[in-house]
Amino acid sequence: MKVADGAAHWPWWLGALWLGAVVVAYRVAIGRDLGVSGLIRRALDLRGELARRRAENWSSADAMERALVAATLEEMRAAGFDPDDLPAEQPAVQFESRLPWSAAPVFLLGLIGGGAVAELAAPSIGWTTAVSSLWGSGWCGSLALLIGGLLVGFGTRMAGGCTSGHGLGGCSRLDRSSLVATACFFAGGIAVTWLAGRS
Amino acid sequence: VAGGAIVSHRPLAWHGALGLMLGFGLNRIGFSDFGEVNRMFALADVRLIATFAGALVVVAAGLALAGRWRAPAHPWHPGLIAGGLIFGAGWALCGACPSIALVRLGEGDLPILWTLLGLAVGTCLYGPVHRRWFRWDPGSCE
Repeated sequence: MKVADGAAHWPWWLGALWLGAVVVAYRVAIGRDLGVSGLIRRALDLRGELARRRAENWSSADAMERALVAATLEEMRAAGFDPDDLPAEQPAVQFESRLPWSAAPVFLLGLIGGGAVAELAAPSIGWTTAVSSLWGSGWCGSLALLIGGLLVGFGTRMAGGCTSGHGLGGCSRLDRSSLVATACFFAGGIAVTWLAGRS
Repeated sequence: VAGGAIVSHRPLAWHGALGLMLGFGLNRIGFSDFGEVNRMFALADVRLIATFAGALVVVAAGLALAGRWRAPAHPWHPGLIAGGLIFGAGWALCGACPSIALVRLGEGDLPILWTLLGLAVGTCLYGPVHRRWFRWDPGSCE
Protein backbone atom coordinates (compact mmCIF):
# COMPACT_ATOMS: atom_id res chain seq x y z
CA MET A 1 0.00 0.00 0.00
CA LYS A 2 1.34 3.41 -1.00
CA VAL A 3 2.24 5.92 1.66
CA ALA A 4 -0.20 8.83 1.75
CA ASP A 5 1.25 11.98 0.28
CA GLY A 6 -1.99 13.85 -0.26
CA ALA A 7 -1.13 14.48 -3.91
CA ALA A 8 -3.59 11.90 -5.20
CA HIS A 9 -6.50 13.39 -3.29
CA TRP A 10 -8.95 15.76 -4.87
CA PRO A 11 -8.26 19.48 -4.46
CA TRP A 12 -10.47 21.11 -1.85
CA TRP A 13 -12.79 22.80 -4.36
CA LEU A 14 -13.61 19.56 -6.17
CA GLY A 15 -14.35 17.80 -2.89
CA ALA A 16 -16.50 20.75 -1.81
CA LEU A 17 -18.52 20.65 -5.06
CA TRP A 18 -19.00 16.88 -4.82
CA LEU A 19 -20.06 16.85 -1.15
CA GLY A 20 -22.28 19.87 -1.66
CA ALA A 21 -23.95 18.31 -4.71
CA VAL A 22 -24.74 15.11 -2.78
CA VAL A 23 -26.26 17.03 0.15
CA VAL A 24 -28.33 19.32 -2.10
CA ALA A 25 -29.51 16.40 -4.28
CA TYR A 26 -30.57 14.47 -1.16
CA ARG A 27 -32.48 17.44 0.20
CA VAL A 28 -34.26 18.11 -3.10
CA ALA A 29 -35.02 14.46 -3.92
CA ILE A 30 -35.94 13.21 -0.44
CA GLY A 31 -37.19 16.43 1.11
CA ARG A 32 -35.11 16.30 4.26
CA ASP A 33 -31.52 16.79 5.39
CA LEU A 34 -29.06 13.99 4.79
CA GLY A 35 -28.13 12.57 8.20
CA VAL A 36 -25.93 9.49 8.12
CA SER A 37 -25.96 8.85 11.88
CA GLY A 38 -29.76 9.01 11.74
CA LEU A 39 -29.81 6.52 8.86
CA ILE A 40 -27.54 4.19 10.86
CA ARG A 41 -29.87 4.39 13.85
CA ARG A 42 -32.86 3.75 11.59
CA ALA A 43 -31.15 0.74 9.98
CA LEU A 44 -30.33 -0.70 13.42
CA ASP A 45 -33.82 -0.08 14.81
CA LEU A 46 -35.28 -3.39 13.65
CA ARG A 47 -37.52 -3.75 16.69
CA GLY A 48 -39.06 -0.32 16.19
CA GLU A 49 -39.58 -1.04 12.49
CA LEU A 50 -41.38 -4.32 13.25
CA ALA A 51 -43.57 -2.54 15.82
CA ARG A 52 -44.44 0.13 13.26
CA ARG A 53 -45.39 -2.51 10.71
CA ARG A 54 -47.66 -4.21 13.22
CA ALA A 55 -49.31 -0.87 14.02
CA GLU A 56 -49.86 -0.30 10.30
CA ASN A 57 -51.56 -3.66 9.86
CA TRP A 58 -53.75 -2.84 12.80
CA SER A 59 -54.86 0.40 11.17
CA SER A 60 -55.93 -1.45 8.03
CA ALA A 61 -59.40 -0.70 9.41
CA ASP A 62 -58.78 2.69 7.75
CA ALA A 63 -58.32 0.96 4.42
CA MET A 64 -61.63 -0.85 4.97
CA GLU A 65 -63.33 2.48 5.63
CA ARG A 66 -61.86 4.02 2.47
CA ALA A 67 -63.04 1.02 0.46
CA LEU A 68 -66.55 1.43 1.86
CA VAL A 69 -66.59 5.13 0.97
CA ALA A 70 -65.44 4.31 -2.56
CA ALA A 71 -68.11 1.65 -2.97
CA THR A 72 -70.77 4.06 -1.70
CA LEU A 73 -69.66 6.72 -4.18
CA GLU A 74 -69.90 4.15 -6.99
CA GLU A 75 -73.48 3.36 -6.00
CA MET A 76 -74.33 7.04 -5.84
CA ARG A 77 -73.01 7.51 -9.36
CA ALA A 78 -75.01 4.50 -10.50
CA ALA A 79 -78.09 6.14 -8.97
CA GLY A 80 -77.46 9.27 -11.04
CA PHE A 81 -76.13 11.42 -8.20
CA ASP A 82 -72.89 13.27 -8.86
CA PRO A 83 -70.52 12.64 -5.93
CA ASP A 84 -68.21 15.38 -7.19
CA ASP A 85 -70.64 17.87 -5.65
CA LEU A 86 -69.55 16.63 -2.24
CA PRO A 87 -66.74 18.55 -0.54
CA ALA A 88 -63.34 17.05 -1.32
CA GLU A 89 -61.73 15.22 1.54
CA GLN A 90 -58.07 15.55 2.42
CA PRO A 91 -56.26 12.30 3.14
CA ALA A 92 -55.49 12.11 6.86
CA VAL A 93 -52.06 10.57 6.38
CA GLN A 94 -49.43 11.67 3.89
CA PHE A 95 -48.08 8.29 2.89
CA GLU A 96 -45.39 9.68 0.63
CA SER A 97 -43.75 11.83 3.28
CA ARG A 98 -42.54 8.83 5.25
CA LEU A 99 -39.25 7.27 4.31
CA PRO A 100 -39.37 3.47 3.93
CA TRP A 101 -37.12 1.71 6.44
CA SER A 102 -35.20 -0.04 3.66
CA ALA A 103 -33.91 3.33 2.41
CA ALA A 104 -31.55 3.45 5.43
CA PRO A 105 -29.72 0.14 4.83
CA VAL A 106 -29.69 0.84 1.08
CA PHE A 107 -27.85 4.14 1.69
CA LEU A 108 -25.35 2.45 4.02
CA LEU A 109 -24.72 -0.28 1.44
CA GLY A 110 -24.19 2.51 -1.10
CA LEU A 111 -21.46 3.98 1.13
CA ILE A 112 -19.73 0.60 1.33
CA GLY A 113 -20.08 0.18 -2.44
CA GLY A 114 -18.74 3.68 -3.08
CA GLY A 115 -15.65 2.92 -1.00
CA ALA A 116 -15.17 -0.38 -2.84
CA VAL A 117 -15.53 1.19 -6.31
CA ALA A 118 -13.10 3.96 -5.41
CA GLU A 119 -10.57 1.49 -4.01
CA LEU A 120 -10.82 -0.79 -7.06
CA ALA A 121 -10.54 2.13 -9.49
CA ALA A 122 -7.44 3.61 -7.85
CA PRO A 123 -6.09 1.65 -4.90
CA SER A 124 -3.52 4.25 -3.86
CA ILE A 125 -5.90 7.11 -3.14
CA GLY A 126 -8.16 6.00 -0.34
CA TRP A 127 -7.33 4.34 2.91
CA THR A 128 -3.56 4.56 2.91
CA THR A 129 -2.82 5.46 6.51
CA ALA A 130 -4.11 2.94 9.01
CA VAL A 131 -5.11 3.83 12.55
CA SER A 132 -2.15 1.73 13.71
CA SER A 133 0.17 4.48 12.42
CA LEU A 134 -0.70 6.43 15.54
CA TRP A 135 -1.92 3.87 18.05
CA GLY A 136 0.25 0.96 17.01
CA SER A 137 -0.96 -2.38 15.73
CA GLY A 138 -2.19 -5.13 17.98
CA TRP A 139 -4.55 -4.58 20.88
CA CYS A 140 -3.85 -0.89 21.31
CA GLY A 141 -4.92 -0.09 17.76
CA SER A 142 -7.98 -2.36 17.94
CA LEU A 143 -9.00 -0.80 21.23
CA ALA A 144 -8.71 2.71 19.73
CA LEU A 145 -10.92 1.58 16.85
CA LEU A 146 -13.51 0.01 19.15
CA ILE A 147 -13.66 2.80 21.74
CA GLY A 148 -13.60 5.41 19.00
CA GLY A 149 -16.59 3.72 17.37
CA LEU A 150 -18.46 3.55 20.68
CA LEU A 151 -17.92 7.26 21.29
CA VAL A 152 -18.93 8.12 17.72
CA GLY A 153 -22.15 6.11 18.00
CA PHE A 154 -23.08 7.45 21.43
CA GLY A 155 -21.96 11.03 20.77
CA THR A 156 -23.78 11.41 17.46
CA ARG A 157 -27.03 10.19 19.02
CA MET A 158 -26.55 12.50 21.99
CA ALA A 159 -25.84 15.49 19.72
CA GLY A 160 -28.70 14.45 17.44
CA GLY A 161 -26.55 14.33 14.30
CA CYS A 162 -23.09 14.03 12.86
CA THR A 163 -20.85 15.56 10.20
CA SER A 164 -23.57 15.34 7.55
CA GLY A 165 -26.71 16.37 9.42
CA HIS A 166 -25.33 19.05 11.75
CA GLY A 167 -22.05 19.72 9.95
CA LEU A 168 -23.22 20.16 6.37
CA GLY A 169 -27.02 20.39 6.60
CA GLY A 170 -27.49 22.55 9.69
CA CYS A 171 -24.37 24.69 9.39
CA SER A 172 -25.13 25.63 5.78
CA ARG A 173 -28.33 27.23 7.11
CA LEU A 174 -26.45 28.82 10.03
CA ASP A 175 -28.61 26.78 12.41
CA ARG A 176 -27.49 27.77 15.91
CA SER A 177 -27.68 24.25 17.39
CA SER A 178 -25.78 22.76 14.45
CA LEU A 179 -23.05 25.42 14.62
CA VAL A 180 -22.49 24.68 18.33
CA ALA A 181 -22.55 20.90 17.78
CA THR A 182 -20.09 21.13 14.87
CA ALA A 183 -17.74 23.37 16.86
CA CYS A 184 -17.82 20.71 19.58
CA PHE A 185 -17.06 17.92 17.07
CA PHE A 186 -13.87 19.71 16.11
CA ALA A 187 -13.04 20.76 19.68
CA GLY A 188 -13.28 17.14 20.85
CA GLY A 189 -11.18 15.89 17.94
CA ILE A 190 -8.52 18.56 18.30
CA ALA A 191 -8.28 17.97 22.07
CA VAL A 192 -7.82 14.20 21.74
CA THR A 193 -5.29 14.58 18.91
CA TRP A 194 -3.33 17.14 20.94
CA LEU A 195 -3.31 14.91 24.01
CA ALA A 196 -2.22 11.90 21.94
CA GLY A 197 0.57 13.91 20.36
CA ARG A 198 1.93 14.91 23.79
CA SER A 199 2.07 11.44 25.26
CA VAL B 1 -60.25 3.93 -6.10
CA ALA B 2 -59.65 3.48 -2.38
CA GLY B 3 -56.53 5.23 -1.11
CA GLY B 4 -53.64 3.28 0.29
CA ALA B 5 -49.93 3.34 0.93
CA ILE B 6 -48.23 4.57 -2.19
CA VAL B 7 -45.29 2.24 -2.62
CA SER B 8 -42.59 4.14 -4.45
CA HIS B 9 -39.11 2.87 -5.15
CA ARG B 10 -37.83 6.31 -6.01
CA PRO B 11 -36.49 7.10 -2.51
CA LEU B 12 -34.70 3.74 -2.52
CA ALA B 13 -33.00 4.45 -5.85
CA TRP B 14 -31.96 7.90 -4.63
CA HIS B 15 -30.57 6.47 -1.39
CA GLY B 16 -28.55 3.88 -3.28
CA ALA B 17 -27.19 6.35 -5.84
CA LEU B 18 -26.37 9.12 -3.36
CA GLY B 19 -24.82 6.63 -0.91
CA LEU B 20 -22.53 5.42 -3.71
CA MET B 21 -21.62 8.97 -4.70
CA LEU B 22 -20.93 10.02 -1.12
CA GLY B 23 -18.80 6.93 -0.43
CA PHE B 24 -16.78 7.45 -3.62
CA GLY B 25 -16.29 11.16 -2.99
CA LEU B 26 -15.25 10.73 0.66
CA ASN B 27 -12.55 8.31 -0.51
CA ARG B 28 -11.27 10.71 -3.21
CA ILE B 29 -11.30 13.66 -0.82
CA GLY B 30 -9.20 11.68 1.63
CA PHE B 31 -11.73 11.76 4.45
CA SER B 32 -11.34 8.01 4.82
CA ASP B 33 -7.58 8.29 5.26
CA PHE B 34 -6.67 8.26 8.95
CA GLY B 35 -3.51 10.28 8.29
CA GLU B 36 -5.48 13.06 6.59
CA VAL B 37 -8.06 13.22 9.41
CA ASN B 38 -5.27 13.15 11.99
CA ARG B 39 -3.47 16.06 10.28
CA MET B 40 -6.78 17.96 10.15
CA PHE B 41 -7.29 17.58 13.91
CA ALA B 42 -3.63 18.38 14.55
CA LEU B 43 -4.24 21.59 12.55
CA ALA B 44 -1.28 20.60 10.40
CA ASP B 45 -3.23 20.53 7.12
CA VAL B 46 -6.16 22.75 6.14
CA ARG B 47 -7.23 20.88 2.96
CA LEU B 48 -10.03 18.88 4.63
CA ILE B 49 -11.22 21.95 6.55
CA ALA B 50 -11.25 23.94 3.30
CA THR B 51 -13.18 21.11 1.61
CA PHE B 52 -15.73 21.15 4.44
CA ALA B 53 -16.06 24.94 4.44
CA GLY B 54 -16.36 24.99 0.65
CA ALA B 55 -19.07 22.33 0.82
CA LEU B 56 -21.04 24.55 3.22
CA VAL B 57 -21.02 27.35 0.65
CA VAL B 58 -22.04 24.94 -2.14
CA VAL B 59 -24.90 23.55 -0.03
CA ALA B 60 -26.13 27.01 0.97
CA ALA B 61 -25.98 28.26 -2.64
CA GLY B 62 -27.53 25.06 -4.02
CA LEU B 63 -30.42 25.04 -1.56
CA ALA B 64 -31.01 28.76 -2.12
CA LEU B 65 -31.18 28.17 -5.89
CA ALA B 66 -33.52 25.22 -5.38
CA GLY B 67 -35.69 27.30 -3.05
CA ARG B 68 -35.06 24.87 -0.20
CA TRP B 69 -32.86 26.95 2.06
CA ARG B 70 -35.44 27.39 4.79
CA ALA B 71 -35.99 24.49 7.17
CA PRO B 72 -37.13 24.17 10.79
CA ALA B 73 -34.33 24.94 13.25
CA HIS B 74 -32.86 22.09 15.25
CA PRO B 75 -33.95 22.33 18.89
CA TRP B 76 -31.43 23.47 21.47
CA HIS B 77 -30.54 20.87 24.13
CA PRO B 78 -27.58 20.12 26.44
CA GLY B 79 -26.64 17.01 24.44
CA LEU B 80 -25.38 19.18 21.59
CA ILE B 81 -22.25 20.16 23.52
CA ALA B 82 -21.55 16.95 25.45
CA GLY B 83 -22.50 14.70 22.55
CA GLY B 84 -20.51 16.83 20.13
CA LEU B 85 -17.38 16.59 22.25
CA ILE B 86 -17.83 12.81 22.69
CA PHE B 87 -18.29 12.31 18.96
CA GLY B 88 -15.26 14.47 18.15
CA ALA B 89 -13.09 12.54 20.60
CA GLY B 90 -14.18 9.24 19.08
CA TRP B 91 -13.67 10.55 15.54
CA ALA B 92 -10.07 11.49 16.36
CA LEU B 93 -9.48 8.08 17.99
CA CYS B 94 -10.66 5.92 15.09
CA GLY B 95 -10.47 8.42 12.23
CA ALA B 96 -14.04 7.69 11.25
CA CYS B 97 -17.22 9.72 11.36
CA PRO B 98 -20.27 7.46 10.81
CA SER B 99 -20.07 7.41 6.98
CA ILE B 100 -16.34 6.80 6.96
CA ALA B 101 -16.59 3.59 8.99
CA LEU B 102 -18.70 2.13 6.15
CA VAL B 103 -16.56 3.60 3.37
CA ARG B 104 -13.45 2.05 4.91
CA LEU B 105 -15.16 -1.32 5.11
CA GLY B 106 -15.81 -1.02 1.38
CA GLU B 107 -12.15 -0.16 0.83
CA GLY B 108 -11.26 -3.46 2.47
CA ASP B 109 -9.97 -2.10 5.79
CA LEU B 110 -11.06 -5.04 7.94
CA PRO B 111 -9.92 -3.69 11.35
CA ILE B 112 -12.61 -1.00 10.91
CA LEU B 113 -15.06 -3.77 11.88
CA TRP B 114 -14.06 -2.93 15.47
CA THR B 115 -15.26 0.62 14.88
CA LEU B 116 -18.48 -0.57 13.23
CA LEU B 117 -19.13 -2.82 16.23
CA GLY B 118 -18.57 0.11 18.60
CA LEU B 119 -20.71 2.37 16.40
CA ALA B 120 -23.63 -0.07 16.51
CA VAL B 121 -23.34 -0.63 20.28
CA GLY B 122 -22.96 3.09 21.02
CA THR B 123 -25.94 3.97 18.82
CA CYS B 124 -28.20 1.35 20.43
CA LEU B 125 -26.93 2.15 23.94
CA TYR B 126 -27.89 5.81 23.70
CA GLY B 127 -31.68 5.29 23.67
CA PRO B 128 -31.91 3.50 27.05
CA VAL B 129 -29.30 5.81 28.62
CA HIS B 130 -31.22 8.87 27.45
CA ARG B 131 -34.55 7.60 28.76
CA ARG B 132 -33.00 6.71 32.12
CA TRP B 133 -30.91 9.82 32.86
CA PHE B 134 -31.52 12.67 30.44
CA ARG B 135 -34.61 14.84 30.35
CA TRP B 136 -34.29 16.88 27.17
CA ASP B 137 -35.80 16.40 23.74
CA PRO B 138 -33.00 15.10 21.53
CA GLY B 139 -34.71 16.14 18.24
CA SER B 140 -32.27 14.82 15.67
CA CYS B 141 -31.50 15.75 12.10
CA GLU B 142 -32.89 12.71 10.38
